[in-house]
Amino acid sequence: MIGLDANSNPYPDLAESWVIADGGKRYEFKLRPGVKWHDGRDFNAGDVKFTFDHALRGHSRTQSSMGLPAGSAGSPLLYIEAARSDLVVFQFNRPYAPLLQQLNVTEAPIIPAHRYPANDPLTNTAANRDPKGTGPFMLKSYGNDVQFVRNPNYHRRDLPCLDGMVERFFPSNQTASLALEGGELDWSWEVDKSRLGALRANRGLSVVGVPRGTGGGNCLMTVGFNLLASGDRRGQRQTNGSVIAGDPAPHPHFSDVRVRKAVAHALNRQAYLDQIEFGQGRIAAAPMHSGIGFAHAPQPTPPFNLAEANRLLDEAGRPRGPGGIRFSVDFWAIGPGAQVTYGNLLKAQLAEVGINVTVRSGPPGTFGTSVFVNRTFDLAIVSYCQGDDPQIGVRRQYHSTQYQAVPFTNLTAYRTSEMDGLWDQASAQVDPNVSRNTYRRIQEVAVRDQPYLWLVETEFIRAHRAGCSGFNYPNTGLFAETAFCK
Amino acid sequence: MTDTALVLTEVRPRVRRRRWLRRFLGTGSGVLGLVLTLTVLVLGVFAESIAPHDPFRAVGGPFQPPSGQHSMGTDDLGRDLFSAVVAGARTSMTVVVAVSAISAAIGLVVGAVAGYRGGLVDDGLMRVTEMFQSVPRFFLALLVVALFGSGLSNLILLLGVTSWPLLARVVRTETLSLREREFVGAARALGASNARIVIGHILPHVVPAALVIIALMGSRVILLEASLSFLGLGDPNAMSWGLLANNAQSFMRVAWWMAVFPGLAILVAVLGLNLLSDAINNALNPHVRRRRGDRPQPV
Repeated sequence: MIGLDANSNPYPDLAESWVIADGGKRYEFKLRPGVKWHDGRDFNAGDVKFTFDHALRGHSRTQSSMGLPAGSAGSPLLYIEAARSDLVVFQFNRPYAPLLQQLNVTEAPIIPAHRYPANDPLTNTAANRDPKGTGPFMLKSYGNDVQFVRNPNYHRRDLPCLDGMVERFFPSNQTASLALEGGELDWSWEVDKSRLGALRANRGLSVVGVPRGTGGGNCLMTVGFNLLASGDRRGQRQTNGSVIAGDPAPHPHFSDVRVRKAVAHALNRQAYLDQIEFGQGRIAAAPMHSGIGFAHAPQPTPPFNLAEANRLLDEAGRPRGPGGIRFSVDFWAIGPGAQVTYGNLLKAQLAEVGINVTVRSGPPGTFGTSVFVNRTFDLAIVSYCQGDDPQIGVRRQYHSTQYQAVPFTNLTAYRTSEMDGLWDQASAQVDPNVSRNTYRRIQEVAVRDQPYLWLVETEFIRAHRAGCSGFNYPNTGLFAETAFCK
Repeated sequence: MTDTALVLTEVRPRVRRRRWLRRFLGTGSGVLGLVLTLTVLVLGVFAESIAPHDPFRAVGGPFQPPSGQHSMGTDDLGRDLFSAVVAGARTSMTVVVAVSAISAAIGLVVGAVAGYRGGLVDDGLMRVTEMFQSVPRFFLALLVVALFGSGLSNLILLLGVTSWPLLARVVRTETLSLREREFVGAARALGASNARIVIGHILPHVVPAALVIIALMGSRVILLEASLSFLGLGDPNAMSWGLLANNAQSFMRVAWWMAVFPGLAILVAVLGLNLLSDAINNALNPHVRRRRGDRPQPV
C-alpha cells in the first residue's frame, strides 16, 4: 500500500494519498487508479480489506498490534471498510499510532480477493500455487529455480528495467558465494559471512549490509526464558480464542529473576557478534532495535561478569552439585543453521557458571510446535523481527494477550498488568515525541524483569556483481524494481 | 560312544587359541588393525583424562590453526578441536559397542535357534531376517530422526535392531554344519539339554566367525553415525566426528583443520576395524592357512 524510506517515513505506493482523521482513530486511503493484477483484473479497495480480514490476521506481527479479527476482545480495530473501489477506511476505537508503518510490502503485501472466492487464502493451495500480485515482476514458473518476467502493465511507467529474473537456490551460503565469485550470479541473498573480508576486497563485487529483508526488518536475536514449567500450557490462548483452564506452575529456575540476571551476566554477547555474525550487526543496547530510532532507548543490560553470575546463582539457592553443575536446561533453536550455533555458544558460556544446557533443534514447523504450542522448552532463541514500530514486532513479546499457541508471539509467557497498560497506552500515542517516553519506560521494565535477553542486532548481507546497480535498499521488498545490469 | 571319543573329536577352541593368535599377529595388517582399533578404544575409554579441555567450552580464539597450544586448532566458536576429536572417539565407541551388543544378542540367538532347530522355526526366523535385511537402513534412520528427534539412544536402538541379519545368517550356517558333528551327537547321547549343547558346544565354535562379522559391522556403524551427523541429524549434544565434519563444511575455505582431523579420525577407526576383521577372517579360513603352509586343523 505504502512504501517506507530508510528512516521509516511513508511515501505513496498503491495508496496515492491518505488522510488521518479523528486524532488518529480513522485512516482513509485513496488508492492509485488503473493498477492491474498480473491476471489483468483491477486492483481495488476490496482487495485491501480482504487481505487484512482473511490473511494478515494469521500473522503474529499484524494480529498482535491491530487486534485482528476486527472487533475481537481488546482489539483497537473496529472495522476496515472498502468505502469506494478506490477508497479504503481503517476505523479504530482509540487513536492508533503504528498503522502507516505496517502497510508496506513487507508487513502487508496485498493479495487479490477475486482469486479466493471462498475467503480461504490460508488453505487454498490451488490459488496459492499460482500467485498474482501487482508488482514489477510476474511469476512465470517454478521448480528447481523460480523464473520471473517483467510486468508490462506495472503502474510505474518504464519500470522495471530488467526483462526478467531467475532465482536459484543453493544448499548453503558458501556455495552461493562461490557461484557469485565465479560469475554465475548477478545478485545474492546472504553470503558466506566467514569470508566477508575476501568478498569485500573483490572489486568485481559490491557487498551491502542492510537491516531489513523481505521477511521482516530490524531483527534482533533474542533468547527467551520459559517463565512457566516446561510443557505447562495452562493459561495459554488457543487459535480458536479459548484459553486452557488453570494456573500454570512457575518454572523451577527461571521464574526467579536472580537466575535470569545471572544468565545475562554469564553471556559474553560480543562473542555472538564476532564468532557467529562475523562482526556484521551490533550488540543490542536495548530491548527495542536501534532501527526504530524514536523508540530505541539504550538500557544498562547486565554486563558480562562471571563472578556476579556465580554470586547471583549462589544467592538464588542453586549451588553447584556433582561435576560443578547447578542445574540442567533444554535450549531450543530453529535448525540446522546459525541459530543452533547460537545454542552451542550459549551452552559453552553457561557451562562456565555450572548451568548444563542441552541444545535441541528442528525445522521451523517442529520448533513452532515444540516451543510455542507445546511449550516443552526452558530456553529458546528467536530472531524477532521488530518492524518499523514497536507495536508491530515488540508488543507480541510482552503483552499478556500474546501468550498464544501461535509461533513467534509471547515466548516467555511474561504477563503483567503494568506492561499491558504501558503497551496499550503507547499504541494510542500518535505523536512519537509522546510515545517515546512510554517506550522508554517499557524498556526499563523489560530490563528490570528480564524475561528475554537481547543479544545481537543482525544485519542481512546482499551482494551483487559490480556491473549491476539500481537495487532498492534497504526498506522495500521491491529490491529489483529499478535494477539494471550491463 | 565313550567319553574318550568326545575328547578326541571335539578340539575345544581353548586348545587352539595360542596358535590362532600367533597366526593372527603374524600378518602386518592384523597388527596394524589391532593397533588402530586399540588407539581409538583407549581414546574413547580415557577421553576425559586425555582431552585437555571440555569439547563444548570455548577455550581459545576462533579459527586458530594447529599449534602447540591447540594441537588440532580451534573451531568457529574457539573450542579445542583435539578435545572434540577425542570426545568423538568416545561417542563412536559408545555407539559401536552398544549397537554390537544389541545386534550380537539378537543375531546369535536368532541364528543359533534357526540353525539348531531347523524346520519351520528356521523358515520363520529366516523370513523375518530377510525382512530386516531388505529395509534401507539409512532412510529408516532419517525417518526415525524426523519423527522422534535426534538422540544418541534413538540412533543406537535403531542401528542395533537393524544390524543383526547378516550375523544371524552366518551363525545359522555355522550352526547347521556343527549340529551334525559327532561331538554334538555325543553330547546329546550323554543327555545334555538343547540349551547346554548350543551354549556349551556349538556357540564357542561360532564365535570366531561371528567376530569377523561384528568387527565389520562396527566399521559400518561408525560410518552410518558419521553420515547422519554430517547431515545434521545426529545428536547435537554428543560430540561426534560426523558433527565436527558437518560444522567444518561451512568453513572449508577458512579452516581446513576443522575438516581434516575429524576425517582422519573416521578413517583410522574404520580402517582399523576393517583390517581387524580381515585378519580374523584370514586366521580362521583354512584355505588361507594352507597357503601359508599351516597344517589344516580339525574344525
